[in-house]
Amino acid sequence: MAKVVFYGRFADFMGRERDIAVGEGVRLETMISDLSKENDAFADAVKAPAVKFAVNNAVAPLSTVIKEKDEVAVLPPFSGG
Amino acid sequence: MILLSETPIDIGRLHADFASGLDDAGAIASFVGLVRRDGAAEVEALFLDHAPALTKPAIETALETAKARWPLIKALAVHRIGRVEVGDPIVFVATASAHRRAAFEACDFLMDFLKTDAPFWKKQICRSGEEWIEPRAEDYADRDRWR
Repeated sequence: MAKVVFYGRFADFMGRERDIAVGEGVRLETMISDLSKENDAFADAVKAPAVKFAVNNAVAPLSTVIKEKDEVAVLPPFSGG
Repeated sequence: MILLSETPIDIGRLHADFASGLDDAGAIASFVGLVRRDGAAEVEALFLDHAPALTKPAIETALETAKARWPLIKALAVHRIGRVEVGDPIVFVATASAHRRAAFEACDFLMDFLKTDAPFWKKQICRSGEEWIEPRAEDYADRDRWR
């Protein structure tokens, strides 16, 4: 299993976190695509160019292969200050 | 130095502590961001979400970048998390240097970073409901001035 954590508006759509079974060689892009099937609002919002992803606390591209026990963070466009 | 606070921040005390013992500084610049009512929206509060494992390291990197770019003696970023009421400070940034220009510019740079490049998310809580706030095009343009 990998843990996926949703922040900001994504947590409203998907809940804060969940554990997801990871197949051999599955890429982050596929994982996000599968999650998008659950919620149309998330599916739309996650496509925004300023959305970022982190794997094990480092920003990571969608091509990243997700492994067992990885922690994936799904990060909406940052909006501090 | 960085502080993320779940409770209201005391700007006077933060500024006094920051300014204490800065014998080599000729200038301190600081910025305070407040939660504003925003007229027709009738904002009651903001809720600040953050990613604990990502937010502090990102701000640390920005502080190091500022120190490398300007001759700073000291820099501080304090950001609220959780619910912040109208009128309360949401962010405090202070920079100290020998001369004013470096302090002004580094403070400006750090605020631009916090608006668009630090993992925070703001939800506006109004009488009529709640809405997540997206960064504005101006925020990205402000940040890009430093590239």
